[in-house]
Amino acid sequence: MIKLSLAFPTKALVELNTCLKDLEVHRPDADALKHSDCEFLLDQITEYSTSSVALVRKLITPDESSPITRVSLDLEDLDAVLSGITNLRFSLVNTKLLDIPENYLDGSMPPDIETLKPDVIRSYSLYRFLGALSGQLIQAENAAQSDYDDEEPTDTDNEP
Amino acid sequence: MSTAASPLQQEETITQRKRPSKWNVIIDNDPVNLMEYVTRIIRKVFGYDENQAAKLMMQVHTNGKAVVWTGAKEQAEAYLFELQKAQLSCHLEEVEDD
Repeated sequence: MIKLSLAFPTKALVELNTCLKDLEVHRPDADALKHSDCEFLLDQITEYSTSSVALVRKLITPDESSPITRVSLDLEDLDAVLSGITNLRFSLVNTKLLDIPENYLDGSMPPDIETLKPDVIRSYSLYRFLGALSGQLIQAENAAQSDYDDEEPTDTDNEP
Repeated sequence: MSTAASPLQQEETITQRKRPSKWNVIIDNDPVNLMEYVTRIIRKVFGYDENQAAKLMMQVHTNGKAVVWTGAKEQAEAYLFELQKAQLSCHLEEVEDD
């Protein structure tokens, strides 16, 4: 079994910080994100998709005493995690972003951009964060797989 | 002079018609899925190597779609199911005879 473990990817960390900023929990230094911030963000994600949040939670193994965090999961779990992230991204687009023009048209939402802005920004931030995380996880998987392949003995290694 | 086809000719025609059709599995571009993710899914579903999968993904990205596999309908449908399960936008298209 290959264990995938990487420092919380920089690009995702930047997006995570953007999320928190939009949620008004901004930390000027991305490295100083704390466990509580992470929990807060995950609670926000829960609002959008309870089925996917467990998978996203699974990614993050926070240590209360130190800044966030490491991503640690078995490579075997990556399919489920990526699937959860993808579903959540589609959910954000379909239910939070694309629906807005339609809601305007049928008059079920107030035509006030200021009212909608926080929701749009929040959804888009989460969308980008999850995208960055997903991309970095795949790159980490490729790197782990490549290392594993390099370590595998070849036929020529076994030759006398 | 009779123009009716001989039994042998009729048999050949029937044989030609019965030849199983081929189907293209086509992935369409979409605004949500990441390039790395699409490449990964192509690798996993079809067993292509990294370069081939990345090349096909780039075709999807630049041309809006790419034929990723061609073959029997049953297998094409199985691949389509796998791609749809991974949230990729895709469809089948019958290959026209020359």
